[in-house]
Amino acid sequence: MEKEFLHIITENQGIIHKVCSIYCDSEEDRRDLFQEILVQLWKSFPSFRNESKFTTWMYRVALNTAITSFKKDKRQPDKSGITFENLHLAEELYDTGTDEQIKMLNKAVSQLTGIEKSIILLFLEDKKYEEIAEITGITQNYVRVKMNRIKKKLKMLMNIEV
Amino acid sequence: MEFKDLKSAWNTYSSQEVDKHHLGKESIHELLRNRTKTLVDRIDRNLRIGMGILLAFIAYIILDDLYLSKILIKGPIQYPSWIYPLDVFSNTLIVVTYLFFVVRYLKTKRNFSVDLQLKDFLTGILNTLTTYRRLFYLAVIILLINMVVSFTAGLYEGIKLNTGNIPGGMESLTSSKIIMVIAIGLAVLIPLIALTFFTLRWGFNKLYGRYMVSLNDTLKELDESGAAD
Repeated sequence: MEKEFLHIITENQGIIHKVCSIYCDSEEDRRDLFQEILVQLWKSFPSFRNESKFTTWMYRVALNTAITSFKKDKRQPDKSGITFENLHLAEELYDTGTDEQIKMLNKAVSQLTGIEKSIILLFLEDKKYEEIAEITGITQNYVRVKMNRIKKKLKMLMNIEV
Repeated sequence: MEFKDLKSAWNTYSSQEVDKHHLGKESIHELLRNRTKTLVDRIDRNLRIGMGILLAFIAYIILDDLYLSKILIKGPIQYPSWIYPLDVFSNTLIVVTYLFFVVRYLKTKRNFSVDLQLKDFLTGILNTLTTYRRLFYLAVIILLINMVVSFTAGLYEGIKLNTGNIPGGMESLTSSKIIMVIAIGLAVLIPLIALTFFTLRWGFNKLYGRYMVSLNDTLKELDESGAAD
């Protein structure tokens, strides 16, 4: 079973890296979260019963772990979202190159809540609302509602057209 | 910038990140071998240790009541008759509460897995933490009950001993003297109880308070889905 697990995880490790990218600000946090997700996947691997796609199951375990991971002695980012500083930054970087867009995206995403991060990640990964609902365990309607709110937030933070 | 540009930026960024951090099978295996306990694992371990300590403490209290006191103290001890029902009641309460916790813990653990839907997963962690917190309070309650019963019995014995040589014994004590003895006793007992309670509560909140608030906030955010539907 260990061989099978290592093979399948090596093949699909991109999912864990993407989840770590969206939830972590530092390399240290990233390494810790990667290992925590890996351990949780290994522990729950025997309970995977092919009822859903492996990647769906993997996203669920990874996101559940990331959302509930505990960062000791660190302040939570400001969840109020929009600040004048961000808006100023958005104006400066409006319609610039990919690197700047990535910086803006990272800064904007860091303002989102854990659940919002999971939804935007799946959206950016081109998952359909149905699959987002299956992974997160929330209804498709609520995914739509949430997605609209996130788009509005990002629009204000990054001056993007939605 | 448009939303499709955002997706394109994300694709570029995430591909770079995946390539940069890509690990081989050996490295993944190494990470698994050197795994540390996750927070939930640590809470679970602490809960089991806590339950073990409490079980030992309960066993000690019951053994002390039934056998140890009789072996250690030679000669007859006469406690007031109302101490016995209080003692039986407190011991029964402690054992029943403890069993309730064990059942609740096993039930939570049986239904808990990281591949549950997020809401059930969050509820599972919160239930485990709540059980842990209650275990803390159970420990405090056991200590307090034990302190109160011992204090009451000790106070009674002390008064009886000191009034043994006075004609009329305990009945000869004036109400003001009895009140003074009780007041002094309470002045010692209450700060001790408060200190124990607040120290344990502070310790728990320091360790897990912020985490519980954060989990509850996430759960509340998820519960909005009901309203949205």
